[in-house]
Amino acid sequence: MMPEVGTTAPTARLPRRLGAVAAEPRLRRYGAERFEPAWLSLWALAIGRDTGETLAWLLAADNLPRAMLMAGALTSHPAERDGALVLEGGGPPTLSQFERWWLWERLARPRRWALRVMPATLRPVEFPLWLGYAPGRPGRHARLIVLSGLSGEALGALKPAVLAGLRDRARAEAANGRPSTRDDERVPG
Amino acid sequence: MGAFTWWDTAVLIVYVVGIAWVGARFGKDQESTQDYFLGGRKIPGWAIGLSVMATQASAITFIGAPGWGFEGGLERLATFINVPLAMAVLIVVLVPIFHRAGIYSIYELLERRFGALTRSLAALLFLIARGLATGVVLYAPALVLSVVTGWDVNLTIVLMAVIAVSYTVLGGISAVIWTDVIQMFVLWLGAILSMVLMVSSLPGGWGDVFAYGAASGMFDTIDLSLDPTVTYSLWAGLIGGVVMHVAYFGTDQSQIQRVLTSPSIAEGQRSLLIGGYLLVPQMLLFLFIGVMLAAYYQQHGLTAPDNLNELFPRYVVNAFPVGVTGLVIAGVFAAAMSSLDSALNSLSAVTVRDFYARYVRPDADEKHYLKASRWATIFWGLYATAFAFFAGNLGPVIEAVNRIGSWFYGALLGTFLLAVLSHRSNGRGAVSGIIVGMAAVWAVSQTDVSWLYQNFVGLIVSVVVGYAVSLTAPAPSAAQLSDVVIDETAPDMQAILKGRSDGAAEIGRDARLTRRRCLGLILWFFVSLAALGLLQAWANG
Repeated sequence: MMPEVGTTAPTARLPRRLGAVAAEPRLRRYGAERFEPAWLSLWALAIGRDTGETLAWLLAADNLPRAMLMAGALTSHPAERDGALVLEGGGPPTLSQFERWWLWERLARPRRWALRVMPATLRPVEFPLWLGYAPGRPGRHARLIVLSGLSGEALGALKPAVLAGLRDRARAEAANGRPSTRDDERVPG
Repeated sequence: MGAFTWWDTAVLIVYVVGIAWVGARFGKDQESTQDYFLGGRKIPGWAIGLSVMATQASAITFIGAPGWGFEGGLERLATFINVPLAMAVLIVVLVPIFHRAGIYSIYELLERRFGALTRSLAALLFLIARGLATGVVLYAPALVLSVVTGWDVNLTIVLMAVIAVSYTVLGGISAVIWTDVIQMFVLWLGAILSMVLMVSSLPGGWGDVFAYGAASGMFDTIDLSLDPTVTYSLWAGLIGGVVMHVAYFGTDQSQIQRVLTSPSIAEGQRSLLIGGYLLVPQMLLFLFIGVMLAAYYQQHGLTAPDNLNELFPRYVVNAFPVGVTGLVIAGVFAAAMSSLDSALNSLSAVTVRDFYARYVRPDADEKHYLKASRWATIFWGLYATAFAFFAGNLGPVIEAVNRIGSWFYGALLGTFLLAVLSHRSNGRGAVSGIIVGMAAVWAVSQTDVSWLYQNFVGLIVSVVVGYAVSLTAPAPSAAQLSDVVIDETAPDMQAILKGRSDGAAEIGRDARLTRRRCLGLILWFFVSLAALGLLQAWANG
């Protein structure tokens, strides 16, 4: 069971290191013709030594098949409205789920055996993304490209979560009869 | 010159200890800052690519390919000329799906798609095939050690196995990208130096090499024969070789693991891209050294050793300057350790993840799994050692590895393609496809048909039988197809994406990165083929 201290912590945002100007050509290379910024809510749990030193973070949600691994400190700032799309990534995975993910990571790369998950560090975070849209044409479906706002890499592993978030959001909007309040501004440039 | 001196021994020890120290000293820092994803990457792409090459095949290439070239000239390149095409297929078809599925072992995808039996069967085939191939990889440095020291090769096999298993159990040395890069440069330095020394020892220099190669038909790379019993025809290389390499790089956990652990699809594709461009020139280089060795032996009236795998190590020991011999032999050792480490590690990981934690102890704690993984490493070390004793009888080591893979890979690839491309196939069909596909491979192996075609036969039979048998059982559920059906193609998602796209900012001109990458590989294939065709045309007047 996850400790209360983590799940009640306020949501923080990871820094968006990749701006629109840098994201645009990357998305274009993947065939996108339109794009917008987004945030995906995930759960972060620290990986570190028994001494308490934090070395990396696992980022996951209960409906993702695998955790993402992020090296170094989790630099974040409080979530503020910036007009970007905010998507729900899913609920917090259990501690045993995090431990199992970490076990598989270590089996793949045994050097990491000395590091442990640190249960008390669980916190919600919002992960910066750039969403690219490749339009549908006759005989071809419209495609979504998910780009990390941290590194600029395409993150296919997050695509199911992003699509699920978009679907949930569309359903909520349909039920409310109005658009969500957190994506009412367009991305610059 | 002429022997492995104390200086060489000192260089070898310093190099191997130095590599191990660098790995132990910098490995952790590197993993925490560079190897993980989402952060800024500081290691250049070319270094990562060379690291990929180093862990893939450098040691057995160094030892096996010259013997192969000595025996058959450049015709054996037909086995590898297809690698750019195979990488293009992987980049387009399999890598995006593996990445999106978020899996740690590729056999996990088969369980989600077809059920536990298919996963277990595929993982078992991987363990058997990779375990045998690891025996060959173990044999290669043991042979070098035997040539250098004069010790019996069976003794050096045991010695190398103990060292390799110890390295792996203690955490491995393969994680440090820069040490892999150094190894690659050392091996290439050894290759280029050997070419220079051989040419300078021939009265006519390069002219003698090309004249001997042309006269002996060693530059006849492209054999257009449609006869399926011609082992290294262009068609065998294209039809069977593409299947073999797609399967080897795409369904063998020890190879695809690096792609699965890469942070993004693009990065996974990049590592395959490097292999796609560099593997053929590297093979050409070492096969050409084999041709040069043949000319050298003929001109000097020497008799080749019975075991052609010893050919190049013997030449290095006899011809290289003192100290450089030690350096190059050390490079072979370090590269072999890197390959062995990653092979033993993936064997252990699949054993624990796909079998032990799946069936035997699903809820054990991590310390227990760590202990289990170490015992698994030791088991696979013993298994590989047992097979290594026979590896010398299998001919050139590089062909031995590919022949072993050919027994299994075609049927395995067929199952993955069924999983990905056919939404009607199911577990019953997949298992039937694997079994009948392998039986077909066995039947073909009893004939004179080129072993390269075995992969193709295994693929076709497993796909056809797999699909046909699938029709006798219910179609898979939507949940079973979730990893292979692209979510955004559903009509409601298309409407949602269109809605969001209409409101999003515009980017501009369309340019497809993946398509461009694949076009580059296909172009590279034709350039390589044309170059070899020109060489052949020149050699035949």
